Amino acid sequence: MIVQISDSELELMKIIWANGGTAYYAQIMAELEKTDRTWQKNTIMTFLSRLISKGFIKSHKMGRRNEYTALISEIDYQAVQTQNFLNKLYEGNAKGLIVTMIQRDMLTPDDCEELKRFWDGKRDE
Amino acid sequence: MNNLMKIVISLSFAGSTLAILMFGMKVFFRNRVSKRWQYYLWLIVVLRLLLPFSPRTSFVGIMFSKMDSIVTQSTLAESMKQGVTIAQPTDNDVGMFSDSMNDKDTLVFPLFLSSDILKFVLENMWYVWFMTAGLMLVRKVTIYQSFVRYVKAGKTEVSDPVLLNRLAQVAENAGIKRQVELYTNNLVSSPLLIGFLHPCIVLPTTDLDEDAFEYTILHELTHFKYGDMFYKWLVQLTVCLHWFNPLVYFMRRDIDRLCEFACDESVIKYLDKDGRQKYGDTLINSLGTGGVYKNSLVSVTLSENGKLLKERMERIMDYKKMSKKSTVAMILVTIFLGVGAVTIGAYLHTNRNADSMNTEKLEAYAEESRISSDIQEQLQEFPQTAYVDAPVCRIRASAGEEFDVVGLLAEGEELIILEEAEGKDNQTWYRIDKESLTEDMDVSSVEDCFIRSDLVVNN
Repeated sequence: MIVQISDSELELMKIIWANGGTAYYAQIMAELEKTDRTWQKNTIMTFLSRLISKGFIKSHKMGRRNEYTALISEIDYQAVQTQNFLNKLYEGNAKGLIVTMIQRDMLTPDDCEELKRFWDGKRDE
Repeated sequence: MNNLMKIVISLSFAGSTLAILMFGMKVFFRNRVSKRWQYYLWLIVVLRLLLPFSPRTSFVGIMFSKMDSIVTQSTLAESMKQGVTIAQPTDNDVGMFSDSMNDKDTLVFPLFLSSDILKFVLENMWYVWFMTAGLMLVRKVTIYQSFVRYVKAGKTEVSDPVLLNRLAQVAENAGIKRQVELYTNNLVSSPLLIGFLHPCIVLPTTDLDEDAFEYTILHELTHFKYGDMFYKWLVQLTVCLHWFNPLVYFMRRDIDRLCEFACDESVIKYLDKDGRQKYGDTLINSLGTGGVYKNSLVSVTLSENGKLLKERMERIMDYKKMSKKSTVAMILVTIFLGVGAVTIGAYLHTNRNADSMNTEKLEAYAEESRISSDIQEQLQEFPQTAYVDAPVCRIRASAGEEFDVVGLLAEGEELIILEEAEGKDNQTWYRIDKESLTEDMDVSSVEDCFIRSDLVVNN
């Protein structure tokens, strides 16, 4: 069971993941500025140290700079979060989720075709 | 009495004297002196209570040495009552003994410590002191730890970047470089700050308007900036060590109050009248917003006491910078108190036998000495073991022979016994303070005086 993280903390995780799993503070800062977020240094440091204490990342001193390394991969995190979501809303029934998505046009027929091919490929293995 | 005990009591005494002085001066301070100055002035008293440093001769040091000798003398007197008298050497041995014969009555040994029970209590008092101090300290630390644990267990992280940004801005303005953590816990009774190195502010709620949030944060960060947690723990330690001294509790109360006043002062110093009003509002509103968790010990809270709060409000609206005259006066007061703290000193065991040679000499004497029926013989035994600055008075005491020590003493002085050592055959050797010898004697060449008393159990 993974501890829940706030949206802001997830933002930081995404930056680290996008950067190949490790990032320096300066890189994180630069990425945040691109998305027009004006977070103060203390704000970012607070989020990062919370992520460390939650076991999402670890920090490593490289000279005078801190390098932050993700301890959980994006795919793992997504899987766990999806599972949580399924359990919470659909009692773990994935079909229910798919039905909702198709009913509300969140899945296009093309997506369905692709999924079908993916599924057939899986079965042939 | 145990030496440790004597040191503690002497520190307590010295500290109390300064504390009384402080309380006395408060009348003159009133609003003329900045609270921060008063707050740190107490630090002199706290340090006097904690640090067993003293110049070689100090008021308290001398006082306690005298008390020492009184206690030793009373035991000496006690043993004399049991049939020990002090022998008188013949004139040609040591000249200065000669004219001392007639003043028997002037030598008075205080006898107020004659009871064995009292002696036992004095000997073992330090144990009670030590246990109580230790238990109090452990209790305070565990209470604090469990409080911190409770607060942290029920915490909610503040993850709104807007609030964290504001916190960061306030911290930056206050000149704090460390990362400041922000939590809420709706059970705490008022905003508080925990953590010695990593500041962590806990608010009952973040549902505050912008000003209130900033002032609350600023107040707590000001406490952190000035290291008030360290000061508070230092005071707590002092209270634990001096638990028997009622004055330290008053002192702690005053320091706690001044801590808040000083913090308010630092916050409002740069605010205009409007800002002060808002800061005051924040203090009032923070009262009663939270839950029931209270830290009675050392965390630094925004406001907990309604009555104190009223006083603080008055101070905030009435804030004036210190006048030049007051500043000069306070510099003098501070120097005076600092010098006073040093000169009042403390009792130090090392003060008395800083020259451990003396003790060695005494012990060597005690070791060598034997009972001899003849004084002449007795005195001849020693010259070769003696040294250049030889002891001038070696007095043998045995039943039937009497010698009055008074002649050795200066007018109105009592014999000050610095040390004693057990010799063979129930002998006791005393090293006496040469200051207590009469000026008639040529004591300039004398470094130490030794007196021997033999307990002769022949009756």
